[in-house]
Amino acid sequence: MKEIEEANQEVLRRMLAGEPTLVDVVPGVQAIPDLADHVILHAGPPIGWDRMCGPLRGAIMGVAVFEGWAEDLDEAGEKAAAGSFMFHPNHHFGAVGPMTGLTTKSQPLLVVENKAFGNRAYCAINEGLGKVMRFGGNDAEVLDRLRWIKEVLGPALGRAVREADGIPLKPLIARGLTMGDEMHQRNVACSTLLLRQLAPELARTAKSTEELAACLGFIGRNDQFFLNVAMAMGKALTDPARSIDGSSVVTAMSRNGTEFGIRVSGTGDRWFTAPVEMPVGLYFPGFSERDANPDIGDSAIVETIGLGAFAMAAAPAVVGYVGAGRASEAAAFTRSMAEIVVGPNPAWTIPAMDFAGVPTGIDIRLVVETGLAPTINTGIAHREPGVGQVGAGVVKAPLNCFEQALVAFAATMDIK
Amino acid sequence: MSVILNEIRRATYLDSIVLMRISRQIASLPGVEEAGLILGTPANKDLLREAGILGPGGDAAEAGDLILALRARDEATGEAAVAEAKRLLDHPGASGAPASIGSPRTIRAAVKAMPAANLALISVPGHFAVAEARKALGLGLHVMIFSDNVPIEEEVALKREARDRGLLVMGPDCGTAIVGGAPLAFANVVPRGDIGIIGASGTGIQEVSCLIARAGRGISHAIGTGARDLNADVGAITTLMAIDALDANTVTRHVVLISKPPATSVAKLVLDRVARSPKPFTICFLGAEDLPLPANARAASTLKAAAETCLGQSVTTGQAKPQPLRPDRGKLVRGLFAGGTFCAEAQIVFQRARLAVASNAAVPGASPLADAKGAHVMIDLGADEFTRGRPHPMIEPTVRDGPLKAAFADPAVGVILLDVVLGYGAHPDPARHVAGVLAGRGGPLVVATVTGTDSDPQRRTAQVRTLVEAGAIVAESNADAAAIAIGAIGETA
Amino acid sequence: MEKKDSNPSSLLAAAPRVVNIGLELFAVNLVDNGTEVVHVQWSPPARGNAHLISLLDKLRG
Repeated sequence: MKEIEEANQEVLRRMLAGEPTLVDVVPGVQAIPDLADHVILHAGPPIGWDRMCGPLRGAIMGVAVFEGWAEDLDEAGEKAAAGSFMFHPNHHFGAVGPMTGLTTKSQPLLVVENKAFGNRAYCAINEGLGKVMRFGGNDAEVLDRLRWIKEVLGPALGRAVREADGIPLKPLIARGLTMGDEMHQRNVACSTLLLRQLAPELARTAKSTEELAACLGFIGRNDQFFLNVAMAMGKALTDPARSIDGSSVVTAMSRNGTEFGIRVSGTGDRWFTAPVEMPVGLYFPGFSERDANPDIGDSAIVETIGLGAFAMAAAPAVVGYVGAGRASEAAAFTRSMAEIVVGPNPAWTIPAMDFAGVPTGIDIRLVVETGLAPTINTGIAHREPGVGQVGAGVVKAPLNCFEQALVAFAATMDIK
Repeated sequence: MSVILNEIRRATYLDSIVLMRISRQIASLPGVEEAGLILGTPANKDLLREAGILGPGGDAAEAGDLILALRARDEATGEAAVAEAKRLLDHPGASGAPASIGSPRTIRAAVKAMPAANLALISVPGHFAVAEARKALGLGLHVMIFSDNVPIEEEVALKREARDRGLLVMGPDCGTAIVGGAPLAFANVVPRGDIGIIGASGTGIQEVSCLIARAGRGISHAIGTGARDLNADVGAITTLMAIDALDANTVTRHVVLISKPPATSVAKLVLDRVARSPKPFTICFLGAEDLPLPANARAASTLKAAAETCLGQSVTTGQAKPQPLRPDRGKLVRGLFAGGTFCAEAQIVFQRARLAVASNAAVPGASPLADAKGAHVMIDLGADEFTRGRPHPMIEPTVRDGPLKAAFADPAVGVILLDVVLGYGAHPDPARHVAGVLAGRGGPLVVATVTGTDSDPQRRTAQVRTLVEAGAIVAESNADAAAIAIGAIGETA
Repeated sequence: MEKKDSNPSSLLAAAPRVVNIGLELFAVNLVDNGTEVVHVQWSPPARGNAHLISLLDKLRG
């Protein structure tokens, strides 16, 4: 239908026209004034304590202690169950977070500004690999690290980014795609490029050589550092496309460990939810699918803008990592996803596919028609809080979300 | 007490040939009485119901779900069979086609991958075929619909839309076409030449094209119109467009039209158009007598006659010797045909010899099977009642085994007629299979035809030899086979 | 959207370039006999749900 095609083209145009720039790192409450005491933003669509999975609860208990809202984890747990904390989706406040994805007042948040439209999006700094809060970790080691990030790394990064006058992100992505990154499970190239770019400013604005060494070391050891930057970028790129009447394009995909939610431009901020699926993938030694937590995180925002599993053809090494087949089959994933989108992104191209642009702008009509659900590359958390990552795999967005969205979208066009 | 077990696999599609292969494996497990794996369309549920294996579980399936249905002698056997079916579903086995996750899932994506595409060959379940055809037409593709079970109103609407777009719809229920030298669906490898065929019958096209090939000539194009194109409702839309196309096609110098007799109004429509063509036509409306033909057209009452008329020469290499019946056998002829057109033609040849015939696909003047009495019985094993949920006998020769053995065992039957069809899509060695059933069985004369060429994967000469060595008489054409049978029982064809 | 010569004659002008939807066997055979073919891994639209199919038809327009 002409109206829909035009609206979809407008949505794609806006997504592609964005100029995402990492402009600052600031304390949560400075970026999001609503982050008062006891307010905890989480990944995924809205959810209450009763229905939260283990890692999410574990992270909440940890962050409550970190923020000083509870003396210890037990008290935090009681308060959470008693309704003392206010839980909201990151997405409702211009933020995103990977895995449990908690955002609170004191955590430093990366600030990405979309200079083409003036909007901003936020994401906390990636804690690194292993036992971390985003996988539900909440012991002393985790909280100490969060404190160091809050007191040292966050401010240092902020100074460096401001000194650099912001870092344009589109060119970084373009380069990373030629270097084997897909920006979801593989971020090592972009993490390295970003560090390389910020190193002089980090040095110039460091308070001491020791501090500089610690920051460089922390970022340098974390292959996934750039994930959080990419996620904030994704949110910054999709927000201007969020409420175009008549558009069937997806503007958000997100999971809270219990439900998977999508938003569609033509239906504005409505969430369409369905139970999350279990990731299918490869496990680190000693772990198996018995240990896996259901799918969780806002990181599917990356697939929403054509990266991650959609750009798998750029990252053959990821295919094996997520247990999705042979590296030589990486392009098959990208070609598959090309069947359910509006069009390619000419700024982000994949050399192995003769520089085809990453498939961008998921059209719910095409998803429902083909039964091809968006594929997402994801880390797999242990179902018990605090254990950490146990593997990586692929997961599909539940078709049911798109079917519900289609019915609701059709209703906005007066079609039943 | 038999148990019926049903399971549904949501939103699972495997093509019908793969499913039938699995169904057969399950059905052949000890203690399993009947099994079917099939998409949950309403038509398919009916056939599961008719087969006595649809339970409330399967009935709840939606059109995109796969139903696994079976009847077993007891619960334990049934559960084991279900488990085996699931195992086979998860590992359907390697197929020849390069299918990977990256294969296009839609016609739209396929056309993006091959922008020069100009023909969609559609063989999805009939319930979905027209929608896919419409998408293809919307992308500017001509369409060949192999699928059957398409409601006639949908065929009419689709063909009208296609005509408005200048696009051809071959089908529904179009089993054979040869376009630009490419054999499509069930078709034989025949040389290129100057004879064009327009056929409502797949096996009709197959026999005529093969007879032409064996005479050293060739086909320009064979356009399938679908079985119902000459119905009053459809009004010969595809046939008329095909005549236009072959008229404009410089390579084509002679056109053969093959169909069962059309409705009178449609016959007139078609023949009026034939009259306006500058090219000579051979009109084979099987069984039609005394058609008023235009000057550029000649009638042929059988497929063999159609070949001879357009070739201008005989196609039989000498008269087959008269064959005596065994004294301990009766004088009834039993025809067991994979090709519906061959079944119809045999009935017509017998009727012309004033012999009573009965059939499950009776032509006008022939009796239905229930009233067979002492008539010669011609069975179309490819008819709906045999093929819903089961493979077509052209793909799977075992379908004919039961009826063939029954004919041998019936002392009233003196002659058996059967057709072996070669070419793409057909079984890789049908003659070997038939020979296996004939082996060691005395009794009726077996008169067979082999529709094919030596360029077919099965190689006609080798197939003929296998049948002759097994004791069968191989006739040059279906009409000849019927005539041999008539001669053998002491009548005149 | 028609992008080519819409005329049955154009179909007859050369070997066809086929999109095969349904039985894989047909695509295998076409490859064997040297015809250009793309096989579509078809499955029922909207998993066969008639209501959704109807919505999709209207939304495609």
